Amino acid sequence: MPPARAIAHVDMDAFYASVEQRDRPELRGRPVIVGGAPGGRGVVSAASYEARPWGVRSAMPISRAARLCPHAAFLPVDMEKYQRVSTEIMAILGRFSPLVEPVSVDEAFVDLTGTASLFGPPAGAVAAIKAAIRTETALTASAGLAPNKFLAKVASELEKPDGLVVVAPGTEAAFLAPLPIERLWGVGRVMGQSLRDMGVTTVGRLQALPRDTLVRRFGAHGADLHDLAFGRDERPVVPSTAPKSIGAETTFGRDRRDTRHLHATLRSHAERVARELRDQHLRAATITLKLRFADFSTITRAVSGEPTQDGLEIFRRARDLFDRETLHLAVRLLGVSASGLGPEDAGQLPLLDPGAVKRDRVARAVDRLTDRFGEGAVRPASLLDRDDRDG
Amino acid sequence: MEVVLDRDAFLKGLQMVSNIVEPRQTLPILANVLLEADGETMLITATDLEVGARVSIPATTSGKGAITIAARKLSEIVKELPAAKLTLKTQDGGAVSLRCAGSTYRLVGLGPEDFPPVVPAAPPAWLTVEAKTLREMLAQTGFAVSHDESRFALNGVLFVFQPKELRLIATDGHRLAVAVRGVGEGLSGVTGIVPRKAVSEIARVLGSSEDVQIAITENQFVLQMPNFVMTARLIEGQFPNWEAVVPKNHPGRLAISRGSLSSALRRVAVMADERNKPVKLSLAPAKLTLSAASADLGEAEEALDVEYSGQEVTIGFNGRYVLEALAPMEKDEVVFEFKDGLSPGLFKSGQDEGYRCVIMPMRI
Repeated sequence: MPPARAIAHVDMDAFYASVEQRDRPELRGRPVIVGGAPGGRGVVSAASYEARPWGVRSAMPISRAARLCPHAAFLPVDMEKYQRVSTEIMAILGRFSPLVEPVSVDEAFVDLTGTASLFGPPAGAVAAIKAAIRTETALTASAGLAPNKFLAKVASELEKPDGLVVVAPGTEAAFLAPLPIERLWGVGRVMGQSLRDMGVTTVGRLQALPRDTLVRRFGAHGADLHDLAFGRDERPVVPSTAPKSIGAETTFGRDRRDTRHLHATLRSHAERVARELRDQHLRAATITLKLRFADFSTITRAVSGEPTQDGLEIFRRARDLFDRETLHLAVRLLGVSASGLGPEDAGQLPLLDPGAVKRDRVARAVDRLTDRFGEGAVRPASLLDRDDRDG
Repeated sequence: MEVVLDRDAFLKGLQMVSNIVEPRQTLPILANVLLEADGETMLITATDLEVGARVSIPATTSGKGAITIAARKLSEIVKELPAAKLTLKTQDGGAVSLRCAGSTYRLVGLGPEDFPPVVPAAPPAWLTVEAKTLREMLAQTGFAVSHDESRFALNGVLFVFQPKELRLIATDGHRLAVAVRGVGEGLSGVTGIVPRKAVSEIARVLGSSEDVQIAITENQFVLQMPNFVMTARLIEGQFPNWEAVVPKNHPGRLAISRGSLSSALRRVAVMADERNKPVKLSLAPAKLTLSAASADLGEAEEALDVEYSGQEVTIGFNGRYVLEALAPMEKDEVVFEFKDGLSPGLFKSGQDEGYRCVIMPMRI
């Protein structure tokens, strides 16, 4: 039998809000809600722990959060900044194992199996990860350590913030038994209610049900449920999966219809998509335009061509798609995405677009500046006169 | 109608036109060839609505008449028949009987009425060019035609008729090939983009000795030789300003044997991953080093003694592009002109053969 795996799930605590509190000392100790202005139309992306006693939760409309916690500091989402911090954190995780699977910007699985000779027992390694994150980013993370991904994720949630919960091999079933069944992956409201109707409220009760009963009741999913109830999960930690598409979109503060402004937004989205493509060493063959109108009707239009990672080229293609549409209504949301992704072929340079080589060189220089000074430090002149940036 | 003709001539005629028939058609009749009896000849016509061709072969005919028959089946049959007299006779109900030696076939056809006409425009003027010359020029450009359907203006060869000169240009956005030949008369300022399919069909049917006549009208390219005519709808669209990308005054110049450069390139390119990794050409005084490396495979390097006294420079190219650029040269000496690793390199023959190929480097 192979040795038990040691999988850590590292989850940043109230990530966006914590980053803002770190960068703006006056916000420390105060409720901070990231997601937009209180009168706005967004949802809560993150709430600091100070806001949670007031009932503020992620994904709740900002307007509701503002009623619950009117004295909170409301901040817009600064994804660029969180992405930068995220990159730092993922780099720290990468020092402990080559097998790091980011789940989102603020959480990741780390496979620590077999690293004992380098970092000591896995529990010590996880403590070292948490300490490194704290010293290097001044942020706290909660972590779970278990023989598999599912248990690690459950464990990391149990003692937030700044928690560390270890599930030792052999204790899986006992660890899960007292937890409510909704902790299991795939148990949503509907299945949760079905189980509760059967008198199954905790994972322990579920463990008591024969596998066949679950299969009869829930089909193939019943078998998965049975495995999960005993903490069985064989899925490997897969280092960051390649994305299928890369996109940028904006919901405007108020619906827009002036072409100049919309073109400028397209340009800025195209540049951002291009930067992300270059960052990931990808080129995109398909550019998709997404338009949502004031009445929420939404259209997408796509064009395929020579794979590119050039912001101007992506903009031109998106603008051509845009210009073909008739704006019967004002635009609520405008997005650009790139798909049909393939590796940048280590740079076959284009012959016919003499500006492209220069643009590529400039873009890469700008990427380096943006990495240091943040989004918008350098941008196309056509975007300089945007006094009313949405986003 | 009844037609008697020689099986070998029939097969040759079929082979000259039936490639135009696409494996899948938008109209059923486009799977067929049109056979027309016309006095001392039989005409065979094929078209896909973009490219069409008609060949006439000697035959003994009785009465006028026409029928269309599935091109592939007909070719398959005639290919298997022995060299002998072959008789075609229309029957009632749109069928054809085919007899040759002891074999008899009845082939179901379609009436000729719906066959799209292949009508060569009557151009104001023809350009006469040697078949051999045209074939060379197509070989020197055809390889660079783009296969990217989204860049349709690049999906063909640009023909430029100049006074006393014919130019052919093709590019796929990474490289560009130009073939220029002096011609007797020439037509001033006529241009047209001839689609890739027509280009490869022309190259296929051209013999080596005879003269051919070509013309470009407003929307058609026409080629005619004795007993044969081909038409192709020109690609609409703007061909790029190719003259702007052909380097004029590159400071670096290397003359080298084409044979030794080609074989060294082939040996080194084995270790280059074509889409991702270039073959590097590093020049230093008296020395050209070719190298390629791939993380998965390993490395290769080969040094050649050359006459070179300029600056040291390293340029990466897609190895296949360079090999394809060298292949259609006639003579052994090749001249490579260059500037730096980000500027297009120019490959041409040491003796001026009217051929140049510009290749954009890969980033190294």
